[in-house]
Formats: sequence, C-alpha cells, structure tokens
Amino acid sequence: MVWNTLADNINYAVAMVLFCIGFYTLIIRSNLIKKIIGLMVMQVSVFFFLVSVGYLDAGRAPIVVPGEPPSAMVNPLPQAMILTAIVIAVSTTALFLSLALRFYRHYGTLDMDKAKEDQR
Amino acid sequence: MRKVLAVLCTCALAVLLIYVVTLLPAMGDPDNPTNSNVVPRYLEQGEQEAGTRNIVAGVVFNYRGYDTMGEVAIFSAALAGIFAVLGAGRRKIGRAFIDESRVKFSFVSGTAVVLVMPLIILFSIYVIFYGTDSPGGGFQGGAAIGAGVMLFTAAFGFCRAQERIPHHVRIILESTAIGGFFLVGTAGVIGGANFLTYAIPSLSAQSQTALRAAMLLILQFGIGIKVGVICTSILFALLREEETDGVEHAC
Repeated sequence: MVWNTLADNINYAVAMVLFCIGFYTLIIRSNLIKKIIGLMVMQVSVFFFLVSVGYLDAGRAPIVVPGEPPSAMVNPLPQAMILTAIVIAVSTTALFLSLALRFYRHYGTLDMDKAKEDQR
Repeated sequence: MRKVLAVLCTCALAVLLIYVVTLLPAMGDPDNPTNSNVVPRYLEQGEQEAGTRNIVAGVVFNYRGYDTMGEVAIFSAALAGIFAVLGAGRRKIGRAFIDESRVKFSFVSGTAVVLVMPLIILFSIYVIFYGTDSPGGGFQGGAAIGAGVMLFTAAFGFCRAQERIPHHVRIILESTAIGGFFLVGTAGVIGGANFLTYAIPSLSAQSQTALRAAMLLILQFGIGIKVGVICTSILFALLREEETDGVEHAC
C-alpha cells in the first residue's frame, strides 16, 4: 500500500531525496563552493517538487487553443512561480559566490575550518 | 563524530520527508486540491482577463503582477549586493581571469561565436515577443540574451565584451526597465482596479482585453531587457578581478 503510493508519487520522492543530498552537502562540507552547490541542489529539488505538483495526467501545456477544453491543461500556477524563482535563484547564487570570493580574498582559502584555524 | 551526526540528521530528515510523500494525493490526479481551487478560473477566463493565450504569462504579469514586481526588485537588490560586496569603485582597473588563461580561443571557435550570436539575439527577441501567444516570455528570452553575452565573453574576453555593453548603458537599461514596469503597473490602477489589471469601465470588454495584451507586450519586453542586462552585469561583476601584482590594466 505504502509502496504503491510511493510509486505513484515517484517525482515527489525523488525531490525529497535530492533535498536530503543537498542538505547533507550543505552541513558536512567545509568548502564554501561545495556548500553553495549543496544549497543549489536543495533549490532545484524544491523547483522539481513544485512543478510536479502542477502535473496533470495527459494534460496539455497551458496555452489556450480554441476548441480545446480548458480543463485538460496542466496547472499554470507552479510553472509561473518556478519561472520567476529560477531567475531569482541565479541572482542569489551569484550573490553567494561573490561573498565566497570576498571570503577568499580575506582569508586566502575557501575552507571554513582552515580559516578558523588561521584566526587562532 | 561530526560526520555520524550529519548522516543521522539527514537520515531522520529523509525518513520524515518520504513519510510525508506517502500521505500526499497521487500525482496527476485532476481532483487534487492544487488543481481544483483557483486554477480553473485562470484556465477558463485567463485569455479574456489577462489578454494572453499563454496562461503562464497571464499569471506572472496579471494575476500575480505584484509578486513579479517584487521579484524584479529582488533581482536588482541582489545585483546591488554583489556590487557592494565586490566593490563597484574598482570598476576601472578590472582584468578578466579569462584573458589571462593560457589556452587562447582558436580562430574556428571565434568565428563560430560571431556567426551564432545574431541568431541567439534573434531567438531571444522571438521568445520575448511571441511569449503572449506561445510558450516563452520575458524571463526566458532575457536568460537567452544573458547566455549569448556569456558565450561572447568566453570567446573574446571580458574587455571586448564590456566595450560592447558599457556600464552606463546597463545602468540606464536596468533603471528604465524596473521604472517602466512600475509605471505600467500603476497605470492599471487608474481605472479603479487592482495593480496591473487595467479595468477601465468606459471601454468595452474587447478593447480592455486588447489594452491588456498591449500592456503585457511592453511588460514582457521590459522584463526581457532587465533579465538579460542583469545576467550580463552579474557576469561582469564576478569576472572583475582585484589587482594583485600592482599593474593596472584599464579596459
């Protein structure tokens, strides 16, 4: 029973697994670039989950075609949200990367543990 | 020790999330709450109310125009943050890391980029302007413009790319785009309706839809320019390298 539900919702399950991979990378790596990569994997998993929520069996793209029933179109709302969220993700990632660049200029390393040791 | 703790935390999170997935309704079911509340109205009346056949564009620029304006503002804020962190003052003595690379781009790849660039720009303009009738729109077209500029920068270096799109031109384009978005949105309030909705009671329903379609085209164009220019600005800001050897390279 549980396995049937999981097989139906395989997209959701994959999104959750991706989220956990990103989370693990974020907390275990001390290199800032790898932390940012983990954060990006988490972002992508959320996009994947939300777009999957809007999926409809045998649905069409949400473009109005005269003569076709509107109920056969997939949910446009998650698509519209993710469309803007992807662009926002690009700009915030660039901000993270510039902070990492600044960190490297100050400490001479991207590794947080090494930077902490150097301070002592 | 730290690793074991991290693995335990992640496993606990994974078990919790997968358990939640088993409680969710089946994916793709038309009766799901996500597909049955507000969405039928978007799908049935979107063409008339938003003035576009592309419902996604209608949701982005009409029903949820406030959100989109906030997102555009976040975009500008992120760029401002990058300039604040990396220092906009050292703009003049920039030097690209790519220019210092040992492997020069070959003649073939340079020529290929020159041939492909006009097609990329043409494609992005098509995506922006045809976005009201087909998949596409300002965000996608703007991202295509940004990708084209990145290709050009990778082939010819930071200095030559920056000559083509100087900083003052980018500032003017960005400010015009966000200011235009706000002005066009506020113009929708004049008839007493919501932001970006353009309900003017003295006009007939058909001309209102036409007005919305025209306004949507302006908004798409503004967003396209905005996204393309900001992608370019972010790329140039990250490419700018602080001088380490005391030699000043003015582009």
